Parts: sequence; structure tokens; C-alpha cells
Amino acid sequence: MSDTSDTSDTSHAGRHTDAAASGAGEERFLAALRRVFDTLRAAPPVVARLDARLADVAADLVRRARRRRARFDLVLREAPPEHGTDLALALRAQQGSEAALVEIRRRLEPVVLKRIYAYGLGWNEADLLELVFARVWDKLPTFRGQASLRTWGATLSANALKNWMRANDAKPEHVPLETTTGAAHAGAAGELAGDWTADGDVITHEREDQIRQMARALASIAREVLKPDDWELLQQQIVEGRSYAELGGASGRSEVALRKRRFDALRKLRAAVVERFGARFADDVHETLARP
Amino acid sequence: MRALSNASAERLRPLDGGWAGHRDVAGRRSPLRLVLRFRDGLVTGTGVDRRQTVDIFGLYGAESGRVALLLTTADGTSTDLDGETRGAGVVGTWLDATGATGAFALRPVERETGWTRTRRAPRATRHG
Repeated sequence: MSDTSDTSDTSHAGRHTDAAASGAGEERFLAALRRVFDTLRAAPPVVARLDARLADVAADLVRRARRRRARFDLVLREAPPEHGTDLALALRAQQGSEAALVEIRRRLEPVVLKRIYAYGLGWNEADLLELVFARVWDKLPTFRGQASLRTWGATLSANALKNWMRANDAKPEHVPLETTTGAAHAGAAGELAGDWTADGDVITHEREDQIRQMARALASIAREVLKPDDWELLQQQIVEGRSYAELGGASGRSEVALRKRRFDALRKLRAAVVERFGARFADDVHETLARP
Repeated sequence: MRALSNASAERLRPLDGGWAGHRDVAGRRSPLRLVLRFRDGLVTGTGVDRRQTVDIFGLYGAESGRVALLLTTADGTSTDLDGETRGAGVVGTWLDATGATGAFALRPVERETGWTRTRRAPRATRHG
């Protein structure tokens, strides 16, 4: 037993010695650290140099924040409501403006009628119009201007009509537009049969979607086909609005060289976009171009 | 609780539509007629430059007011218009593959087209 206790005492003593040694080591380390800090504190030129760089650091931080904002804008993450006028109309309506409500009804009536007839529910046109508009007024506060009132109204009325069909086990029944007798709907029916066709609407939306897809894919395409410096140049020069002189000073390149690099980068980017999305991305605006 | 801040910022926003102007080529004014569509930092469109139809691909900065338009003809010849906003229009310099360069200017054809100052929607901020 005594042997064991001796051994235990010895190991205890050893542990104490180790602890003391490690404590001393720690103290030495802390002392060294203190010396380093004291040296730093006592070295005004170093501190002065650090302070002297702070303005650049701050400017860099501001620039990065600006670029982040600009990038977000490029990929539609902080875009303002696209349909501000529609949103304003909806807000006026929510503030109790009857004129605004009338305007909304006037705009949405053809859309709702179109959905009613598209679902083959023209035989119950009057009731369904009331039902859908009750739903529209109910949901108006949820309109945030992310789509136009017509698009929003079309989706809302389609959902309301589908729900109604499910609830009433209603069956579609073909009613030709010519049989519409309501004089009040003459204008709406005219619009239904006229310029605002379903196909035209779909095509416009498809084209719009395609351009938005292109914009969203732009950053990833650029990273694939451009050198990082070139993509950086495009962003700094176009999105951030930095001058060639400023960029030339930072990169050591001449303004002429930067201008040429921008041109080449744009050409490469366009070629890659054409390869992915096709060369006819500008088709939809060709028709609106007046002859010179 | 989620609330809307009253803070809002002005920003430049180009609107879609027709643009007309010119670019100086070898000391002569060559007319430009473009139809542009601005979406999320990307510009697409079409136009007529020196009696040739061109398609347009480009970028713009909503906050910087800078715009880059690459005009490409059917035979693949490109011209880069490097512009910045001046009022509702755009002015700047162009550069083509031969290294030729000159000034250009574009102005919106319709009154409602062009670069306009718009109020950015208030951003949602979180309180508490």
C-alpha cells in the first residue's frame, strides 16, 4: 500500500512540476506578447502608417458596398416595383378612392371575362364576374406591383374560377362571344376579340421572361467566358461609373487599352449570350422601329 | 415587427422606347435610330446605323447612369457606344474593331422615354 501511495505522491509532485512549468511557459508567452504590443505601441511610425491607410480602407469598403448594391441591381434582387403606376392605383383604392376602384374594375373586366370564357363558363358570366371581383377587392391589399394589375388580376381570376368549378362541380360549356348581349361588355368583348389576344399576351410575357433570364444569367455567363479582370472592368466602368482615368491609375493600364478591353469583353459576352439564348433576342422590338 | 422606412432614394432609370441621334464618323454625322429595352442591368434592342440594321446588346448602371451599347450588324461588325446620361439623353464616344472612334449622342424620341429620375420604393427595415 505504502508503495502505491509513494508512487501516487511522486506522480502528484510530477503533475505539480508540469503545471508549474506550463504556468511559467504561459507567463513567458504573455510577457513576450506584452513586449510585442508595447513595441507596437511605442512605434508611432507603424501606427501612423496604419492610420494613413484607413481612408483607403474606408473608401474600399464603400466601393464594395456600392458594387454589391449594383450587382444586386444587375440580377434583380433589389429592383423597385416594376409596375409603380398600378401599385399607386391600388394604394389609392385602398385609401378609399372610388375613382381608383372604378379604374381597376375597368382594367380588369376584360381580363376576368376572358378567363370566364376561357374556362367555358360564359353561361354564368354575370354571377362569376361578381364572384371574381369580390375576390379581387378582398385580395387588393396583397398587390405589391411585382406584376401588372392585368397579370395579377388574370391569375387571381383563374384561381377563383377554378375553385368555383371545383366547389360546384361545374362543367365547361361553349358559349361563342357573338352571343354576348350585354351592352356594358361591348368594349370588353371588343378588346377580347381585338388587339389583346391571348397568344400576343403569352408571347410578350415569354419574351419578357427570356430577357429577365438573360439578365439573371449574365453574371454566370460572364464568369465563364471573361477573364475576371475584364468582368471587373465592365462592372466598375459601367455599373459603378468609374472613369477610365481612375481605373487606369489603379490597374496601371492606359485608358486606350482599357477602352479596347471593354470592347472585346462586350463582344465576348454578347457572343456567349447569343450562343445560349439565340441571336434573335431583339426580335420583339424590330416591329416598333420606325423607318428612317 | 416589420415596418416600412420612410427613407427613399432617387435613382436614374432608363425607360424603354425609341432613341434617335447621331455618331460622328470621319467628320460627318451619321444618323442613329435605336429601339432599346432596359431590364435588370441589361440592354437589348435593335436599330439602324449607317443604313444597316443592327442588333443591340449592352449593359447599364442604374445608379451610375452609364450605358454600354454594342451595335452588331448582320455580318458581325461591332461598334461599342460608351455613353453617360446627359439630361434625358445619352452622350459619349464610340469605338469599332478597326480602332476608329468618335463622339455620339442619343436622345429619346418619345417624351416618356429616356433617363428619368424616379423615387426608389422604400426598403423594408426590421425594427426591434
